[in-house]
Amino acid sequence: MFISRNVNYRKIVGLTLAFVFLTSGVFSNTAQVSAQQQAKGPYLDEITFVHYLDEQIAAKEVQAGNLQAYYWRIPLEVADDMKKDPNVVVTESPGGMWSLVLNPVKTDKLNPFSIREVRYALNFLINREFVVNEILRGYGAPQVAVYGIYDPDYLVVADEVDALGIKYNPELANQMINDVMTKAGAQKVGGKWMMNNEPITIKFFIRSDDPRRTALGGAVTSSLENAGFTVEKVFGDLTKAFEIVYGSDPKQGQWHMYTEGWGRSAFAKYDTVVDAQMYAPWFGNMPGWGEESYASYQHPELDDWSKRVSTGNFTSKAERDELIRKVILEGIRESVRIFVISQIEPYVSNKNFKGTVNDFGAGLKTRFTSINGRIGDTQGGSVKIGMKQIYQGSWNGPAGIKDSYSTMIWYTLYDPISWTNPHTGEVFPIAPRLKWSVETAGPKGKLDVPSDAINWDRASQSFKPIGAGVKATSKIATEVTLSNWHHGLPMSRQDFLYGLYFGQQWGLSKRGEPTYDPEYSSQSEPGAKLFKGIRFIGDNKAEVYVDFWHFDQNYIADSGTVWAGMPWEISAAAEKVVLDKKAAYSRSAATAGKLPWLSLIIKNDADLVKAALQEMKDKGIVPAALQGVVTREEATRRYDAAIKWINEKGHGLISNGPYWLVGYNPDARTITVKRNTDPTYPTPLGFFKDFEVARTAQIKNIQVPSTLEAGKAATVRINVDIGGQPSAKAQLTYRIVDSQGKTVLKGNAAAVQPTGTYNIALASADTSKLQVGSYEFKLFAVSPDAIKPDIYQTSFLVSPSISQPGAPRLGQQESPATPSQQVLGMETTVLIGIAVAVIVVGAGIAFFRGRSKKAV
Amino acid sequence: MGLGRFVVTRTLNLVIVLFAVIFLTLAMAGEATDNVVRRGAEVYVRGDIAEQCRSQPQPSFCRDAAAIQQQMRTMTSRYLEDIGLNEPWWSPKRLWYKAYSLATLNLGESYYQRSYSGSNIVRDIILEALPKTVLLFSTATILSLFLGLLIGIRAARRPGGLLDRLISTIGVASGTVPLWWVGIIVILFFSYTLRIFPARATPLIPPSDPAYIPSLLYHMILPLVTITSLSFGSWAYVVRNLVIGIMQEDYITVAMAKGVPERNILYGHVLRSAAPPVITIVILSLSGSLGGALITEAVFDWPGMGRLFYQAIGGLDIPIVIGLVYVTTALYLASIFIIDLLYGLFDPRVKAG
Repeated sequence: MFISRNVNYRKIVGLTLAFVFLTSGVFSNTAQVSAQQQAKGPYLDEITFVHYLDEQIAAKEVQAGNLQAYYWRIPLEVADDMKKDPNVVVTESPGGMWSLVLNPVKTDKLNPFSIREVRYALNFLINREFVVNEILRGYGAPQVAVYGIYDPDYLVVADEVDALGIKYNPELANQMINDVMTKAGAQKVGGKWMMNNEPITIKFFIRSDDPRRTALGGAVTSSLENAGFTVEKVFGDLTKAFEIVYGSDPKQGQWHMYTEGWGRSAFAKYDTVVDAQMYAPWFGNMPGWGEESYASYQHPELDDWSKRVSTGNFTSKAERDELIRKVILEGIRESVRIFVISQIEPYVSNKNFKGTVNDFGAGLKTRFTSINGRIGDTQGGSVKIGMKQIYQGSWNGPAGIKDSYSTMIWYTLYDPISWTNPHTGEVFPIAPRLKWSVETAGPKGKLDVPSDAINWDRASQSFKPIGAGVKATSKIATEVTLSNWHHGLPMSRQDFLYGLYFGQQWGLSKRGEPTYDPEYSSQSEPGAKLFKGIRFIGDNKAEVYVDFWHFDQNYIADSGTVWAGMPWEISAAAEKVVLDKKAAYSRSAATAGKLPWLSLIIKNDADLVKAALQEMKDKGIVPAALQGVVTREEATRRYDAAIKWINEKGHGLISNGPYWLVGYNPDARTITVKRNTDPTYPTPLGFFKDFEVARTAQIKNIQVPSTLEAGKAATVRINVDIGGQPSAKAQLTYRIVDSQGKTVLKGNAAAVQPTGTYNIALASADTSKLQVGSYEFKLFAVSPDAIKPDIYQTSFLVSPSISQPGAPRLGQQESPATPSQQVLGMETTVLIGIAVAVIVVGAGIAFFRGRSKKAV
Repeated sequence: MGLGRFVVTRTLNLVIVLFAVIFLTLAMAGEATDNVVRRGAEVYVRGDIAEQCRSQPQPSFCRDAAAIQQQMRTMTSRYLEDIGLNEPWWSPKRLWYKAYSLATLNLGESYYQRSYSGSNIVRDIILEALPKTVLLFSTATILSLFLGLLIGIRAARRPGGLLDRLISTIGVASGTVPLWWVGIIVILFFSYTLRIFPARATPLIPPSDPAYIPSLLYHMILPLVTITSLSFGSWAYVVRNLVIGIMQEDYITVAMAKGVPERNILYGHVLRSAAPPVITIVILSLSGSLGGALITEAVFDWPGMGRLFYQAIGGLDIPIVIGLVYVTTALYLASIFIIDLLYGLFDPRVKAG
């Protein structure tokens, strides 16, 4: 279990390093020897990230052993071949989604999708299983709501979504469509819907640049035509979609339906925006697209609920869950956006490259693969990893390193103190670096902030005590483990102070001020305002006060950690370069000022930083934020180390992570990193090893009776493994659904002995709720270590209660006569059947006895 | 008309054509394109904001619905401002500025691409890609031309012979096979079956390494051979047709009747007559080669103009796309200019006309 390992490491490593930290001045040699004895850092000595634009060639390179992995999905056609090769490991990661967005606005001619019931009926016209099996070759799963089985909130809504009974059912869809279309005045003539003697036409914009989505368009077209609609297919790529779908007023009716595709990237336990993004008009992603001059889709309730989810306007997890359920159910009923499938994306690695991690959000390309990946089982060796793109955007802290390609590499160079679990999406402190605790009065109360807590005072350009009377919602106490920066000097409180200054100074600046950056400032301002003060207790302990609350305390803690990704002298020199208008942090500022977009891995920009460092050193400059904290000598030592680094390496990227940057080779389009061998680096070797296997729950055995007697207690016994071992930690949720799709019973299974065994005990009162007939039993088993549930589904029959034939049952209260008659009728039928059988058998015996007599 | 006047007239013509093309392109890429780019910007910004808000650490603006909407508006308008869409397409300022900028090779800034030095200026990025394309595609064009001339002339000497039939077949067949597809086949065979050439056409060592140039040449072999082997057939076929046509002219028949040796006729008379069309094709091919090949460069991961185009189109990096179109158009016009000059030099009738 990762969590238990986490705690142990925290205790052992935390105590060890605290000792090293406190006694480093006296016993430095002893400490170094001790530290060297414990293997730390990543396994690999060196990683070269190599640009490979063509996925097929990259996959072949992995197969040939020229690359150890490719950090991008490979084509599905290639994946099937790769799976047959014993030298290649194909990792299947959750991928993007497909949906259909419908134009719900009334147009001059009847737009059938302006009728909510027609839109909803479309859910039953889409054969999602066909799409998965035939179009995606099995690399996907049907999806009805925005949440799929790899989403942490899937189980929050699974019940209700399932109860809608959405599956391919053209008869039901036709029935629903017939009812409402007839009411709308349409007529079906020769199997085609007509209005004013004209066929009702759906303009279906189908993406032609993606052959699979073109096939989806074909399949949906057939279903719509079978339902009686005339379909005008409009083929086009994204640019044409910008013009027709996104660039025209929905009222003009230039399109009625569009095959959308969505990518998947960040993976969060509590996704704050996806509900708004996919269902609510306020986010601007629904037809009308937030354009004021367009006739747009409106839904105030969806707006309200999703805004509350997005902005944390709830007081408990239960309230948040309820809001999400409301959004999803109403979103499906509205069916302006209909989800079709979620994709599975194949990634390849060479079989010799072990220790890869399959992140449910990022796939193979998570930072854990680079840290835990290895050749053999010992530290050492080098690998080449293919990248779809090697360098885009720019590499600077405040407003660079934004594209996914750069961040993949950056997170091998930088050691964050908290991260999201690759299989659960939960935020967790990375134990060797951080311990945190939270005290909160939220969501409605406030805490007193100690008067000696400090904050940056923009007016006096210094850190000042905040004084008495300041209040905050939450307090986060952190204790971090410091190490050396890549250039060899130790991290310190000075680095954190500089970060705090920067966030407050640049985050709260307005247009026109020298410390204003259009991208950084606008993004950071709300957060800067939430920060109320900090109190340092030594170099590595602090109390942070913020006006932020979340029901998950790790989220509160994550909002107030104190940490730095680069040493203060690099940040200060880069700031000087920007203030001197030699470069800009953001692309916008660079474009506006006709300046280079500062990138520390490019030699030209690193030289600008170096010149600033030299000037600061020569003039004895100590930044205002560090006045009184850093002496001139200390500053000079920092400047010298950074200048030396830039001179030697040719770049200015210094951080504290498991690897350090050797350099970017633009000609070859490679970026090379090497293992951080500094003895102070705290993360033990193999610390993330538990992430190698997604410890999902697996239902190994289940015994559901094929027939259940109503009113009689029953037990369902289940065996569940987690990560291949019987485990009592799984959460098992069951549902019993009647033939109308309504959930009649639901609950959780209880863990019993032996380990890995669970019982669902259905009391007689429970089974009394069941009427005679067919039911569906559905079981979700979820591991605490990996959110993907294992799902079991079967049908069973409920027979009448024999012990109490006339007893009334729950669910029969509203109309007792009819069910009683049904039960009586059923029993009578059974008795008549038995009588007929006796007569037939008796007659048969008599007949044979008669024949035998004759024969004699 | 004297040569000087001829050059001036042609230069003026080309400048007028270039400006006409610029204005026409800007006019054609008017409101419709603006609308497409604007909508595209909005879609990208919405996606970007959503991505930022679901990532950890979450930007603080995500905690306020109004701030999210404001952030979307700010980012979109900034993006549109960056690419000059804050003015309507017909604005004289925008038209004139764009035309002036393009004429002075101020091609703007790329959205995503970076030059080796980290510059996002389109001109810098193109100037880095262009030499790579020249190295591969122009070399391949010259090789194809050389082989095509030799084989075409040889085939023309025996019309209907084995070589002639072979060249005709190859010429037609090679023109119908996609270069990138052959590239993949060649890579599969030579890189993974025989394992004698690398699949990636650029070496991993830096240019400062003494072994860089031999390594580069070794890495280049596969794409070079692929391009050459697919294009020399067409060349040979064209030369063969030209030569056979000229061989049927009366003056060649007279020369043959006079007993002039075949070799002298071929190289002294036929090739001389074939020179103008061959020169035209050579120059147009060379200038055409500067555009690279979109998918082929992507397959071989060759960092030239074609791959740049491929990435720019994929990422809707409009300034790069416009810059590349402008540069290739300008190069094409320049090559026409050179052809005109050469014709003027070698054929007095052209100057007079």
